[in-house]
Amino acid sequence: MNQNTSAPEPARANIKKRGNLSPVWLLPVVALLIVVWLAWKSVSEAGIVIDVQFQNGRGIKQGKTEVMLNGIAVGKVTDIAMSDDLKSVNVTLEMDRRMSSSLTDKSRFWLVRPQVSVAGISGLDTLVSGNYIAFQPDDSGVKRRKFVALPSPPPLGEQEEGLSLTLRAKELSSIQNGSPVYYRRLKIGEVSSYNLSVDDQYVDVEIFIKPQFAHLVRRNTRFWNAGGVELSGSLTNLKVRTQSIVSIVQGGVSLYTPEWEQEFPEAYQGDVFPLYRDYDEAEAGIAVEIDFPLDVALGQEKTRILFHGKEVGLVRDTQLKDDYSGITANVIIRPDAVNLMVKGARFWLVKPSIGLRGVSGLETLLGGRYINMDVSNKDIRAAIPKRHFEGLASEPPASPSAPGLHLKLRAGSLAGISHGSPVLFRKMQVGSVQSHELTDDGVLIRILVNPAYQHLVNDSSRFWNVSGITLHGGLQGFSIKAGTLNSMLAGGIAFDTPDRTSGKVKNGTDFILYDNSEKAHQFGQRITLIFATAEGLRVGTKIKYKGLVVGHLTDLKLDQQEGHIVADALLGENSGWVAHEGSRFWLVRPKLGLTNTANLETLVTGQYIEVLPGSGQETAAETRFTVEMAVPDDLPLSNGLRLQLVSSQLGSIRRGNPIYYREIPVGTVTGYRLADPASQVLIFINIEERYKSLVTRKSRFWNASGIEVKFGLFSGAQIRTESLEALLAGGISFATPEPGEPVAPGYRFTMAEEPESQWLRWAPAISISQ
Amino acid sequence: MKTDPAEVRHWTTGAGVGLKLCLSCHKVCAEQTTHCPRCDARVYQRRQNSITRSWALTLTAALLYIPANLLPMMTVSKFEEGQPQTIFSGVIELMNQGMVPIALLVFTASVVVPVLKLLGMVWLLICVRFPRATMHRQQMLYRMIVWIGRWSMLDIFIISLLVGLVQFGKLGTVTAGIGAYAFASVVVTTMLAAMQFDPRLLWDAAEIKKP
Ligand SMILES: [Zn+2]
Repeated sequence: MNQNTSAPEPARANIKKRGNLSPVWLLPVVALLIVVWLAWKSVSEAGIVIDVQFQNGRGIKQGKTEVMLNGIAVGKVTDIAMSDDLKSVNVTLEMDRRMSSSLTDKSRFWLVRPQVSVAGISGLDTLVSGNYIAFQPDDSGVKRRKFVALPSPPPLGEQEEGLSLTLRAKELSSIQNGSPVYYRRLKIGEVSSYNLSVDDQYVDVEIFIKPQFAHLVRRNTRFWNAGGVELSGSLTNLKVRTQSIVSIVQGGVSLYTPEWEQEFPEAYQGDVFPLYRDYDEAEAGIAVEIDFPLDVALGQEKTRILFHGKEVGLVRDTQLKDDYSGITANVIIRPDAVNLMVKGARFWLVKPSIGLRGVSGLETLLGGRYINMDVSNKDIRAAIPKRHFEGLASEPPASPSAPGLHLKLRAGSLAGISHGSPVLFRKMQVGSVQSHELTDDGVLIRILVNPAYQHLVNDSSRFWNVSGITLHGGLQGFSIKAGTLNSMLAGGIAFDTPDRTSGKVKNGTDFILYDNSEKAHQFGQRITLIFATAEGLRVGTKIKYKGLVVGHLTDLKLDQQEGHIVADALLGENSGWVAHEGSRFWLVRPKLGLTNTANLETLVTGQYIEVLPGSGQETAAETRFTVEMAVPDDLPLSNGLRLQLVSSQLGSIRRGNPIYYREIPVGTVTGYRLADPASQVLIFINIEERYKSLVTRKSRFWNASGIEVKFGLFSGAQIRTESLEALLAGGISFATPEPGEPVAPGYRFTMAEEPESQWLRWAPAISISQ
Repeated sequence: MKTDPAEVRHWTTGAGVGLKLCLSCHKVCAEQTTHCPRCDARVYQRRQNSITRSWALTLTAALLYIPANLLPMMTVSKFEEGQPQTIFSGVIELMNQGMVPIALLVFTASVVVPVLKLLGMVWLLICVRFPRATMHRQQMLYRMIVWIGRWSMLDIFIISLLVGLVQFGKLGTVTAGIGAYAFASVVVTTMLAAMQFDPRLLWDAAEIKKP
């Protein structure tokens, strides 16, 4: 037995100490870590406490009002307290730790509140988010913890980096603080402040351009007041210009950099620019001076310069010349029209005028006067720049270099033609009258035929006036002629070209302007007739040959030196042959007398000129004739036998008295005159052609005028007369004893005072030529 | 038979007579049984590591109570504007707006109760370590801690309700702050601490002291 064996000890639970730490202790450790981390975080992120002194604490809320930088909260008001002197408010701010380096003496604080004014609404965001304190950091200064807030927000330009410029204006107009600055109607900045200039002569408007737009401002950039509504132009051309609704209310500034000018450097900070009053002024393209005559009343301002209806400029102002000889208009030409300001450009004032040709320049009644300008392509190509022009009071003729055919027409009078009257070809307008001027012998009319139609004119072209209405009237009826309705009212010139193959004409060629189409188309011979007096004559007096019109007078002039009337006459195309050496012209007028009434038809048709062509075609043509004022005595009538009678007395013989043969009229007295020497009277008679054979050398002529009364003691009274007509008008009788050779024309007979008795018994059997 | 109050103080514990209690179905089991014959739950004579766990959880809750009070509980924003509120600033705001009863309620639920719970837990744990005679008071305190625990979730309940309901975009939203999580953790850990604490330990402690 084992002595050592003792009673078994009671089984003891083998209690082991479990691991030192229960895993549950992890929880407090984790919690501790969280707390420590949070503590560290809060310490590390604790803000910087600064004091800012505000003038008043209105709108600042403790614990709520934030400090904003670029729209992000960087701090918060933690406390508000009155200052010791009770005049300001000390606001304690807790600023973001990251701001520590920016809190220097150059940093600025100001309170942003919503501001609603006519100038606009600023700080609108504060309506929702509440007021906030704006903070403008600046790292460059000395660090500090106490600040004084600005009483009001600083100008925009100082708040942000950007371009600050000064605009110098004559008047402030509607510009206000905060007025927008527009570029192409996009807001790129705003007016930050304005003030009178140092010399009180201008208003200096400070503007701020946002940095991203700063490059838009060049040194040649133009600024103008874009505020309000700009009404310009006239009734017919009303221009309403406004930038935006905002700018209407609060004004604004627009800027524009002329593209045509060479690249200028960008503007520098603080540059000074002029602020133009409006767009038109600002677009101050090119200054041009135009001298106008004194009588040209230019509108004060806004007189437009039009180039083919397009506005190219504006009269800025007008002033008298130094010597008071005219008016100088200072004109601003739009930049895009610079190329028009070259040598050769012409300016004239357009005024309203109301005339038969219509109302011209009517638009000026509504739109005011304007200045028209024109310049030819040639001059534009030549491109000789010019800045000083002579203006015209009225529209000038087209420039000689203008395209088209320039022609000169000479006429006796304008006869309804005026500037702008149409030039018609087959009643279609192909050109217009450019000008008219007086010359020594009529008027000179310049016309321009459009380039498209200039081939219609050549050497053979004939121009005539189609102005008004031409009434051709006579006993034979009348006709009315008019060009076009337009030409009727406005006057006009028509032309045609009979020969298309004729030679071409050059610019400046002279043509005659005929009064009417008929005249233009009479291609006959021109002769000159000389009259002692123009009584009863007129242009158009006809020239007749045997009752047939062979020509007419085209012109009547007084030759002062000679004291007679010189008339131009045009003979018909096929009637030129009447004008020969030896041709005679005389005037046929109505004759009213007791016994001799002649040419009564001329009372109605007017006087005419009778022509007797010179004998023989071979004689030389002549163009200058003297017209006898009466029917020539010594000329036969149209045909027949011309004879002369010699008498001691004329008796009652008159021109036109009949010549009787056996009491039958066979001829007439055509005239009489004193013979030379004046011992006798020559009477010219004309025997009709068919009775020529009745006259032989043996024929005897006696005066058959009057009544022969014989008294005889036994024979009683014997009264004899040839006829009643002869009794009244006088006459000449003749008798021939026997047939014989006909006498030559111009054969001279002696006229007996009374017939011998045997003459009366002669009765030869003379056959009458058929 | 009538018992004398003095006799009541003299009790025997289940452990003293070799019995265990199933904490699930409250069946009295023999000392040897490891699992409850009725509900098959594990049966301990005393909860294991109860004190340690309670301490750890209490300590955790105490630590978390610091951020829960310092960090914002929630942010009520109207028109995107709002200040995060801590428990205390919220109470003060309610006071400023004249809602004193609500402020008191919130203050009680959010500040007083958690603090009392923590203090109570610590007190109980100390009592277990350094036994004292006033066991009745300790028992009452324990019961109160357990009862009060469910009410300390009031804040979290309100916050979760608000966060869920008030979501009107820019007009107004309520977002829970990190303090809410901390506070919720405090509540949970204190509840766990109270659950881990085995009140029977208080009896043991009292017994040690009695002889
Ligand atoms: Zn059980």
